Amino acid sequence: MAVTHAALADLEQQLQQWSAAHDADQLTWASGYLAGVAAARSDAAVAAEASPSPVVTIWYGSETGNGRGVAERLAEVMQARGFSVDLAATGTVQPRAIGKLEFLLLVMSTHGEGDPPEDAAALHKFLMGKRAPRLEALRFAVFALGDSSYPDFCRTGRDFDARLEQLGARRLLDRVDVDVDFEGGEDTWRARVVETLDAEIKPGDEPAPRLQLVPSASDSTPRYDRRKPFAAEVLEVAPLTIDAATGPVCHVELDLADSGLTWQPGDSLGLWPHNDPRLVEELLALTALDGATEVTRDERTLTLDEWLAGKLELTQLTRPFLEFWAQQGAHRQLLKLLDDRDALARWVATRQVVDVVREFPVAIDADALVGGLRAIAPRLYSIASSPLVHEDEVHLTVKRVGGLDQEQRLRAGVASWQLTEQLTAGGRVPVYLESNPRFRLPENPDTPILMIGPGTGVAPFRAFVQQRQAEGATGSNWLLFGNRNRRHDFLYQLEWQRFVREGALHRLSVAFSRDQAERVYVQHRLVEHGREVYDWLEQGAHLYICGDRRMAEDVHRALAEIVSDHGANTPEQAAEYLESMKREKRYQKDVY
Amino acid sequence: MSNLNVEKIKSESRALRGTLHESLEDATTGAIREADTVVSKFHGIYQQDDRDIRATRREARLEPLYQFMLRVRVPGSTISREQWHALDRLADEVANGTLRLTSRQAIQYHGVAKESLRELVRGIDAIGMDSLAACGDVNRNVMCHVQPELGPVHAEALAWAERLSAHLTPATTAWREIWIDGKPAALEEPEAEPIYGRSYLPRKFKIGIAIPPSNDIDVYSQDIGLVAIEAEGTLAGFNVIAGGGMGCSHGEPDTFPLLGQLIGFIEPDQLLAVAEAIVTTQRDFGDRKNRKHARFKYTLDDRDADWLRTEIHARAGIALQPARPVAFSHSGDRLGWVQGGDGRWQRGVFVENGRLTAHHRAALRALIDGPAADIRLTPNQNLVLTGIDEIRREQVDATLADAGLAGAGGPSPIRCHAMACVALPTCGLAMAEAERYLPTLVTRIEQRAEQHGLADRPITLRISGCPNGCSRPYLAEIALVGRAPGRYNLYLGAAFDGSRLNKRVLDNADEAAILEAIDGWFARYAAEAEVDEPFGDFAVRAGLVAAVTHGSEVNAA
Ligand code: SRM
Ligand SMILES: Cc1cc2nc3c(=O)[nH]c(=O)nc-3n(C[C@H](O)[C@H](O)[C@H](O)COP(=O)(O)OP(=O)(O)OC[C@H]3O[C@@H](n4cnc5c(N)ncnc54)[C@H](O)[C@@H]3O)c2cc1C
Ligand SMILES: Cc1cc2nc3c(=O)[nH]c(=O)nc-3n(C[C@H](O)[C@H](O)[C@H](O)COP(=O)(O)O)c2cc1C
Ligand code: SF4
Repeated sequence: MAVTHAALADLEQQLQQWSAAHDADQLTWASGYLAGVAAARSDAAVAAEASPSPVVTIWYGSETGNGRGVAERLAEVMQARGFSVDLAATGTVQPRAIGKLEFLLLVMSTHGEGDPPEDAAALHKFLMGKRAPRLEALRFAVFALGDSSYPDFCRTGRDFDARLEQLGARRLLDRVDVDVDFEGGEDTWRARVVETLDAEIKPGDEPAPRLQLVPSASDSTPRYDRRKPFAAEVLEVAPLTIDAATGPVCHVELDLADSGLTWQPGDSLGLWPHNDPRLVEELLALTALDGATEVTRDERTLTLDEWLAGKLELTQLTRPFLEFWAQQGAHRQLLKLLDDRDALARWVATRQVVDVVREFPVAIDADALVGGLRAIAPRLYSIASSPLVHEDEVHLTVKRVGGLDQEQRLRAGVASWQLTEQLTAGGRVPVYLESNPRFRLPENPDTPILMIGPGTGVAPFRAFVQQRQAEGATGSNWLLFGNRNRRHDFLYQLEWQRFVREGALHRLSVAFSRDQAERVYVQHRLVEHGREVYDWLEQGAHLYICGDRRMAEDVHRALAEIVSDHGANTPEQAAEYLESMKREKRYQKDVY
Repeated sequence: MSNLNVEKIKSESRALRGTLHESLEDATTGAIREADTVVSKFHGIYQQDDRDIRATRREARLEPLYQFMLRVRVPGSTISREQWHALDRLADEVANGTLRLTSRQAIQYHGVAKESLRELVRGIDAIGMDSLAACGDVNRNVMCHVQPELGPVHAEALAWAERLSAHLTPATTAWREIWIDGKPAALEEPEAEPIYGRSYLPRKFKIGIAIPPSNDIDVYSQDIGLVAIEAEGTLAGFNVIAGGGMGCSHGEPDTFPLLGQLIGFIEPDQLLAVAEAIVTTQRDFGDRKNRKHARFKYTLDDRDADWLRTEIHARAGIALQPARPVAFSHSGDRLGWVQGGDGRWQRGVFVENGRLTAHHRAALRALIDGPAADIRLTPNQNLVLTGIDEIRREQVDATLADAGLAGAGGPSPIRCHAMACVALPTCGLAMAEAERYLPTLVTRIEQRAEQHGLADRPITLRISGCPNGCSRPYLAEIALVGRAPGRYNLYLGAAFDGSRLNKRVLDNADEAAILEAIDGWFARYAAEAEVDEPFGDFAVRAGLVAAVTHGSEVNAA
């Protein structure tokens, strides 16, 4: 039911008059009574609404928000068309409930090395297992998100799609796999879904009012998102490391004033990067093409220069591009490489588009080149500042990937290079906000938190500690940081020391892997402090891990060991202990 | 750090243990706790940081590059072949690759990480050396004129220096527990310090023994300066000079350098008792409220020599005899070749600024493995190679020359007599460059000297990066004392034999003004000096500067 502002104001006035005549106990009783009435009515309303048309369930498994966005936009459009829609993240559903569904639209990304997103792991395990139910009554469609620079492109979506069929479910539509430039694919798929379900279900002509979005007052300011990024001004770029063995890390501050964007600690910033002109020049020289040539792709006409600089991916190699290139030049060696998964993975790890062009020369024209390259995708960075402390600013902690090679040629990651080496104060960069509801501070300010963030994984914890300090939260904060050398790459060292002095950080543990003969990482420190870690968990601490994916796995194993050692648990019990922490949202990860 | 603080930290340190152990265990910082920076000094260890990169690191939100200086006490300032190899190796393994010879016959390591300190201390312990009481509010290593074989009393004097050093070493076993055993002992009560008590001395304390005619140790700058007196080929005893010191602060006229006062003569076997009596007098009377007024020189200057003689008598039961006459001919070191009593040779090696680089070290390794028997440290940042056979002399010179340790024909007398303190980038108190600036400054002064035909005249030149005066600048004929980057106070007119302080002539001057002043003096000196008249004495006689009779005049207008 839509509640208008006027109606609310009226109701409030009545309630005020009424409550003035009653004491506190009576008011408490009345509030409980009213809540009960409301619950009973809404159950009835759902039942009443559910009967006319079948529910279309949209589930999404998403880690970095792309899939969630796709699912939300789909739900919005379908609701507007009158469908009864039930939208849910796979992490919040009972896997078993799939047995009761009629229509399932599954939006699913792939993470890790071809793994399901954390959020979809339980559903994946359940469906792939022997105890999965038969699903004869189910009609489904899968939208698979992935990245073609990974060997297991869209693997999770494919798994689900195949398995659902195996279990007897019938496809509404063939699976769609999209790469990181998924916008076009998303629009097409949504249109086809609506069209197909229109035919299957025939929703009522009237738009269903169930999930009306109340227009907010700030709607006059443009809403920026992934498709419509905000041009943020760079306020500062400053190094955080000195002579770091694994490449520099920089602190980047961006101005988001007047963007209307809002964020919370735990969120990330998406950034549309721009290729360095040197790389574009190198590619033009190698292909002997003229940068001024006009080229049309997807109904857009730009010069070749413009395509290469800002629209196409030059730093990451994807399988489709390599296949395209191999075809163009009939390069047998490259074709062979494409057949050897492991060799290919090793080969592309240190190569970019220019390296392929150099090694496998092909006579190619501008149209073909632009057509063969993948559209550039935005990069995500954890927000390292609290909006309470830095109101209109977003701080990032960016590690430069690669750099200049031995021949002084640029072989660096596009976004990290741009952020750390190219941009200076006053420059602008297109950004959007990627909220991450699965990486949040506890609501209760008394709850202790344990933050494990080696390397750039420490970024969101700077925001966490800032936020907890600004809010005057009383729960203890424990940070575990790690890197190579304390002298060179202890990110934000002075700030952590200040937080400790000010009582905002209660424990600071560090693991500098190369500061002693034997290698020490955060997981070792965790085990060393196992007793206290376990005590913290027992006291209800929330645990966060951010940073490198493999690190997170090592940390998980260390945690399991701690829980079984100090809690006298079997390995199975320890695993369940951690699983239940996840279910209680006390164990959250943001890994990449 | 306020004075009260230091006194409190000392007395609560449980005989110099403090929380050093905990500080060393803290991996989140390269620093030790603030209170422990006071305690560590007594262990010969100073917390420093690389000041060159301090600002850059702060911008990167990194703490300063904390690192430690460790000062090794070298007994008798004599280093054997095995010891030298160990010391040399440690420079690469745990320090910045250099060894720094100091102005008090010690060796310093710079740039040692907190994590490497134990390894370094264990390394020097293994060769029978330590760093306990190399710094801190206690008596330091007792200096003694180097080259003991050269006269009959040298060996005796050196033996007394070692005995005295040992006698005044703190009793605490904290050093061994923390650095060697790796853990402070769990004591109910810390051990007693019979000489020092719980709070040690109000300030550092320094003793040195000179053997005339050489005043290489600058006997008048010591808290207790001892002058070995020879009679009929043996050591008759010592003249006692008390209350010398260099340190002062800019713009604080209550602080000043002072020459020690000659208070009498003692026989050798009275030495330990008399020295202990003076030390305990300072312990009881020294100013514990104001560290800038806490050195023994002020304790005595505020009173007089009779008072001190009375205290000594009361504490040691010894009445000092009248001082014996002595004459010094020079301060500074004797460099070059000298033949010892056994017919073998010693080579005094000029080490510019006392800094032995990797290159120098390689040459010294070769020399100590070959022609030289051992290495002695001088009181002026140089070293002496001993026990060299006549026929190996050329080889030694060639090796030294190759390593840049003594150019062809040797460095000029001005360079050989020049000395700079460490200052930037390690010294936390430095206001201007000293060590890194000295070589170029000397070159520029040499040019002036040459223009005036003074190239072969020895003139003492010393630079300190701040008024603390670690290169004993107020005893140099020409001295620069740092004010700010590129700016110095300029001093003139100390005696060549170290018996008169100099006086400030330029305030906060840049190099151009300094060179201009020196050039003017050189012109007068070249034209008007008498034969063999030292430059400082000439400056006073010619009225270029007034003679200083009390330290408070050094910085007075
Ligand atoms: C290494 C050395 C200078 C050198 O270039 O050789 C040195 C270096 C330092 N001296 Fe010194 N002093 C050194 C001989 C002297 C001398 C000369 C002497 O003793 O013959 C003096 C003047 C005599 C005197 O004590 O009055 C001297 C007077 C000071 C003072 C001023 C003391 C005072 O009474 O005000 C300080 C500062 C302090 O104690 O507060 C100081 C403090 C320091 C410190 C430790 C700075 C600090 O406290 O943080 C310097 C370490 C710099 C570094 O990076 O290594 N140093 N210092 C000398 C080491 C001698 C040794 O082996 O023990
Ligand atoms: C949720 C999330 C949060 C994140 N938070 C952060 C963060 O806070 N801080 C942060 O720094 N990153 C963060 N990242 C990672 C970030 O998004 C980018 O992946 C990273 O910065 C690299 O992007 P890039 O454009 O610089 O590199 P790309 O252009 O993507 O290039 C990477 C490619 O370069 C190639 N390459 C790598 N090294 C070399 C080399 N030496 N020579 C030649 N080629 C090489 C490899 O083939 C690799 O595929 C996060 C990621 C996610 C998903
Ligand atoms: C750490 C990481 C690992 C990934 N691994 C794969 C992979 O193995 N296969 C693949 O197709 N895509 C992979 N991707 C790409 C994502 O599937 C893609 O970015 C997708 O758009 C993310 O959707 P989401 O935001 O809904 O999680 C990976 C992405 C990240 C950040
Ligand atoms: S004189 Fe000053 S600058 Fe030089 S070493 Fe001593 S304390 Fe440091």
